[in-house]
Amino acid sequence: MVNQDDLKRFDELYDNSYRDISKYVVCHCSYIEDVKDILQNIYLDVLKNISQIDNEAYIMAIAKNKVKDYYRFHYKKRIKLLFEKEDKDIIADIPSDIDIERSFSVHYDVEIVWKYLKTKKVIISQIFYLYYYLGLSLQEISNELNISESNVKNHLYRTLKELKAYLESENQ
Amino acid sequence: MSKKTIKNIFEEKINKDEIYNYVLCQTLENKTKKITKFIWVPICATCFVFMLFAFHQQTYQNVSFNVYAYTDQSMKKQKIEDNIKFQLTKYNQAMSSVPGFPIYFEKDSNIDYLDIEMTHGEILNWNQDNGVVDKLGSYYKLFENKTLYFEVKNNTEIIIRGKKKGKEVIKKRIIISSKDYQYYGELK
Repeated sequence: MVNQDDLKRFDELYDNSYRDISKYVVCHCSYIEDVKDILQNIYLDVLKNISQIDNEAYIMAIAKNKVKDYYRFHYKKRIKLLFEKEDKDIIADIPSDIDIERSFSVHYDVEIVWKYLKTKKVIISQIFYLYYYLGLSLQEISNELNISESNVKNHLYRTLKELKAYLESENQ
Repeated sequence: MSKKTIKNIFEEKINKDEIYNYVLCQTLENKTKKITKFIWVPICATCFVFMLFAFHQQTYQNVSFNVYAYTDQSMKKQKIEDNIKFQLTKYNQAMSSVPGFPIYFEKDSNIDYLDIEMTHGEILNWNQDNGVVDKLGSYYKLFENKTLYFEVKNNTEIIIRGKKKGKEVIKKRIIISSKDYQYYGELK
């Protein structure tokens, strides 16, 4: 049974932990569209056991278990290798000082972009989420995903370029 | 495409408030489900018992049997109605071999047999062909429509139970009283 005090406590824990938990889930999911489901499962568990939870570390433990359980029971692919061979070749050609922000200005549609991101490797969505939604720096993203900073930047640049072409073709 | 615009995509697709609302709704729904489950089980059980009872009652709603007595010197028997006193008469006074007061029982097809029980008296069966009188005691199972004879006293009670598959489906009583050497019966 959940009473008002429990709800208040949950609100507090939810607000305080959401950023870190969503970051963890995004970095460890296999598909970006699973993130929402996993987060819901985590916080359902948190609310169910609210009387036993006194800090965010407990929630992180729940998050780790939920991510494992999600892929175990849904038989989805586990986290793939971050890079395949051809990626390394392309990355080498992209200038490291490229300004991502200025490069593109294209009309977009949320659904089209989301659909496009889902078709890409999960690392792309992860980088996008960490960079654009959580506002992490490239260095921070590289630490989270355990890849080099230049790779993060290159992934971003390449995807934005492809996305631009994709959106232009959709708009025609 | 600015940072803000891509951020909006994730805000829409992995919406923090939406997740929060979902979690709350699910928790309340589960709480309601648990409570309703808790309530539903006894309700369903009660309804089931009630239905069984109603079915049982309905199945045997139309069972009946009729009682006929000879209320005057004629040989004609008359149907006894509930709660109406009738005079018990031996229909043929001239025949001293009439063993007791005759009462004719008629049951419908919904009843397998009539359990007839008597207090302070005796049930008799009289074979008119050979004149043999059988003393049946104070209890008798009657399987066909038939006249039985009763030795009665002032406080005699004749209990008639209609049985179907061994279970009582209807019950009536004939309460015997006497006044001025006359015996009366009342079907209840």
